[in-house]
Amino acid sequence: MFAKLRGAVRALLNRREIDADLDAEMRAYLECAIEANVNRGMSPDEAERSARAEFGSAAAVKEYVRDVGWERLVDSVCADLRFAARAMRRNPGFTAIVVFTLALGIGANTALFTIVDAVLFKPLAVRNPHELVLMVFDSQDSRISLASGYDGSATSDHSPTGNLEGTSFPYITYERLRARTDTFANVFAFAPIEQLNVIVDGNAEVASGQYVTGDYYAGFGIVPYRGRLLTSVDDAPDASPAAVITWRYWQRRFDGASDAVGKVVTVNGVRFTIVGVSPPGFNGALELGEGADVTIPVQADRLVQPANLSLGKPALWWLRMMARLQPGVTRRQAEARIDPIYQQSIVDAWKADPDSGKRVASARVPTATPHLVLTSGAQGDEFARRRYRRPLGLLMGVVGLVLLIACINVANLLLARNAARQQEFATRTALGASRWRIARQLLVESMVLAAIAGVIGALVAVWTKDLLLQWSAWIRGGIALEAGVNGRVLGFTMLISALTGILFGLAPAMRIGTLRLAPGARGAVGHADASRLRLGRLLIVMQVAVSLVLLVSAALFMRTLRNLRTVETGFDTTNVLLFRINPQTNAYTSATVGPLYERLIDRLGRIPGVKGVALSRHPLLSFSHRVETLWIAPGDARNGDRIEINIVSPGFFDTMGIRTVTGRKLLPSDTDHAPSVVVINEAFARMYSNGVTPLGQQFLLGRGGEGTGNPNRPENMARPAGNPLEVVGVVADAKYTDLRTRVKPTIYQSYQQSPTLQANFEVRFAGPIASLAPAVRAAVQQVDPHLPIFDLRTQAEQSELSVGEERMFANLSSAMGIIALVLASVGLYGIMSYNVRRRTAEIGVRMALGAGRRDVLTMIVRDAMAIVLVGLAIGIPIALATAKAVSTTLEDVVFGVAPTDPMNFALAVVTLMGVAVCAGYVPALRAARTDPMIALRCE
Amino acid sequence: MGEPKTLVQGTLDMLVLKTLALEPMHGWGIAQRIEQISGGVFQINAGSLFPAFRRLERDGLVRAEWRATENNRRAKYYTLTETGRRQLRAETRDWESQAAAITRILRTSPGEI
Repeated sequence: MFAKLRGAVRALLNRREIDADLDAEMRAYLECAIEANVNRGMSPDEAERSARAEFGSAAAVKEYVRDVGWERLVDSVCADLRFAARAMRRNPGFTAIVVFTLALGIGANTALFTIVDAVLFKPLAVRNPHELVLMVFDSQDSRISLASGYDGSATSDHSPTGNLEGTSFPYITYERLRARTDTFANVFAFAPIEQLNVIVDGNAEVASGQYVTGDYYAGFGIVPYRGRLLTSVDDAPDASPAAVITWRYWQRRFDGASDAVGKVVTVNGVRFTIVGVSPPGFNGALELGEGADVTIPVQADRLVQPANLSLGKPALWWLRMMARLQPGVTRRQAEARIDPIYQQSIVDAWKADPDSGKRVASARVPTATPHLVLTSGAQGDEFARRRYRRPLGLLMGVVGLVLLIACINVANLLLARNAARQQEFATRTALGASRWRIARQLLVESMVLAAIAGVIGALVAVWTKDLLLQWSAWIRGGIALEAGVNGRVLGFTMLISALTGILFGLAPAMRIGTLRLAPGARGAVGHADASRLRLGRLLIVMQVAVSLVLLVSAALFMRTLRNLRTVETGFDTTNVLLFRINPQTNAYTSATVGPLYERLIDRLGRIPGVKGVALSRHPLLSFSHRVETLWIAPGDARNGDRIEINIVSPGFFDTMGIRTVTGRKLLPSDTDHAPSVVVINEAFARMYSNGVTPLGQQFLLGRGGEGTGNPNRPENMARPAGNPLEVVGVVADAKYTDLRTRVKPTIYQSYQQSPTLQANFEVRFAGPIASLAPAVRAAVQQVDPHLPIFDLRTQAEQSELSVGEERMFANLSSAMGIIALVLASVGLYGIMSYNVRRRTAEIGVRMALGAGRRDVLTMIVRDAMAIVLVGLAIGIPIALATAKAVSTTLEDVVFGVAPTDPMNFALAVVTLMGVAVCAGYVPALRAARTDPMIALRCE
Repeated sequence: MGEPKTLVQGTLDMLVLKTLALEPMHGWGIAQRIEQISGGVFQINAGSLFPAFRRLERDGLVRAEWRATENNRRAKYYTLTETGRRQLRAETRDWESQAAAITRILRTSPGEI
């Protein structure tokens, strides 16, 4: 085998030498034959003639010899390639158009794939990521955290099977599994910290953070970029506080300064030493959007969040867990070994928690038994990413359609050019080339074109990737994705380039089989011409149909976006600047946070140009909200209803422009000494006031335990603890979480009566925003220099952020729709021009016989319209089916527009028809200008 | 390629090997030798002979070198290699057993079954 290969390679490399050798051998053979003939008594001439006749064609013999090895195939493909290059150089304009069209399609696909890859496929930049497993719990009881007494910030999600799945675990589970060294080489856990207040050289800024257990870096097999990484020595209750920062944060915050390592910084008021920098490309294994600028040991939880200690709540499910399997242990084996340990650990965790008994009135031990499942940990905690699979898949579909249209266009161009090359094909056939040989030549040419387009497409992707990243802000943390052209992306590009090459090259190549290639047969050429026109028209019809699908989708998404942007919000989104603070990170407590807010509101209000200042626990349109349980009266069937609540300052309604309907607003006098009051929205009044005035109505919040009788019946719910809240006013409905969700029954309570440790400030202003932002920063710094602000943006920006996914769909689908339109019109223009040129003589005759220019014009335009109409007739049902499928798949994207909306179709159809008229009009005009005499003379 | 059709497919290589087993020989000599020994039944033409040489050489069954002929011309002589010798033995055995079987089948008369 090896000898064969070596022989073949040698044959390829020393072809000339081997050829010469073969020539010499054949000469020697002939000479022997001639000599033998002479010996037999022939004359020398006769001897030679006879020997040569017997030998046959030397060229043919050589061909046979060459056919012996596969080097022959390589050889002839090389010849095809050379020929293809020559053909392309001969016609640079054609080559440029084809390459440009394909590069557009391949580039768009590659660019989007870099995003898809970064979100869905890219493994962690760690040692052997495929040995890692992520632990997931899987429970058939979807009420696991409520009914059974488990608690925690489960990053949970309902799986397609309807089970509740999640990736958070109590600390005790980690301790138990860590001991199983027979199964795991390493077990490590980590958890995000929402905000860390990191003060470097007196400058306070918010950073993202995470807790890790001691084995974290060892388990990932990461080597430090600078300094050292955390070990189990650091993760001890009495260890000196140490932190590791990511390479990215090191660049951003410290400009990559080498003295960052060893520096002492203040994290949430505690002094930490930065001991090292993790390598570039590694940003932790948390979910998208959960960064880990600063990594500290789990045991440091006692230091940085003493008021909200997770370690102090054994039953809290809060840690994500990963492990590296011992060599030779499969995931299934490991699962079987650890599942019982896991189940015991959650029961023990529940029992160890002093609060467990309080959560459920009957204080019974939880009964639900979730199972532990090991999934691939190659991407870290990629669990929540699966929600992006469908939207990203759909976007890939949209971009894929454009590539399809590009292929159709190029196929059409190739058909036209091959028609012009018929003489060449006829000649080659006459010289002995088989149809297969010519078809292969054409395919090679297509592949070369596709390959060039693939290279350019990859470059296009590198350039447009950043734009797509901008559009990807809707993916949590999308903007921070490390999307790039890597091996997988290049593989994808090569794959689609090869596929496109085959796709657009196949139709023209196959047609070679049906062409009559007899040279000089003029009638045959005419026949082939007509059939090429038929195939060309068919391709345009397909293009129109696919374009229609794209345009209808684009209309669907653009109208969705417009509907969302123009939806009635119930408040004034313009001229409001927002920012957030998290006073917990600078040691504020419920008792001290109120005065801080007062000082801030006062100080901000004195900035010139500021018209009003307010705060709320949750910023509007940020997908964050708080839900509370309502209790109205004993025996009321509406007890236990879930309502929305926002904690606000008294100035909130005026600042946000939310109208008061009846009663009064919240007042500064509604302090913790005054009676507890709330303001409700109209939706709440409609639902809970039974038609009478809601003012003076009272209710309570919270869960009062199960009471007597059937615990699942709301009227049996016991009265929760605490004071009743009295309704003092009703305000107009205003959107809370996002633009899409219908306004739900909502109550507003003053921060003075319900302290909140986090706040979003709303600053209404007049005048330029440019000077306002620094002034706001300065004002907050003046009040507390160690309290960093974050998420500084206008309310309008916040609104746009909340429709990021819809905008991505609208932008991408309309961009693709436009490309599709351009390609379709170019294709239509091409086929119509060709048609007009072919019919010049006929048009001349018609005009000579008295047809007016107008008739000719109408005739050609009508011809173009006919093609488009057929395309539309085919496209409309497909577009309808697609729109329906899209609306079902993306029911949380499409808003306020039905898939069958006639307006969408009307828009798309009119646009396509308009383009068709334009594309047909120019050739028609040319046809109408035909001089009958010249046209006839042409023939 | 007319003539070699009479040659059973794939047997040319074996015949060339056999010829070379007698003594190293050049291309034309091999063709002549096969014709002679077969009593003119097999006419070997260049179009099948040269590809056969290429195949055998590629598979390492024969070795080639340029040498002077008895008439003092230069010609490419082929020599059987050890592998070639083994291959020839194997092919000969196969051929004989097959030929015997075919012969038996062809000679079968109705009564014998």
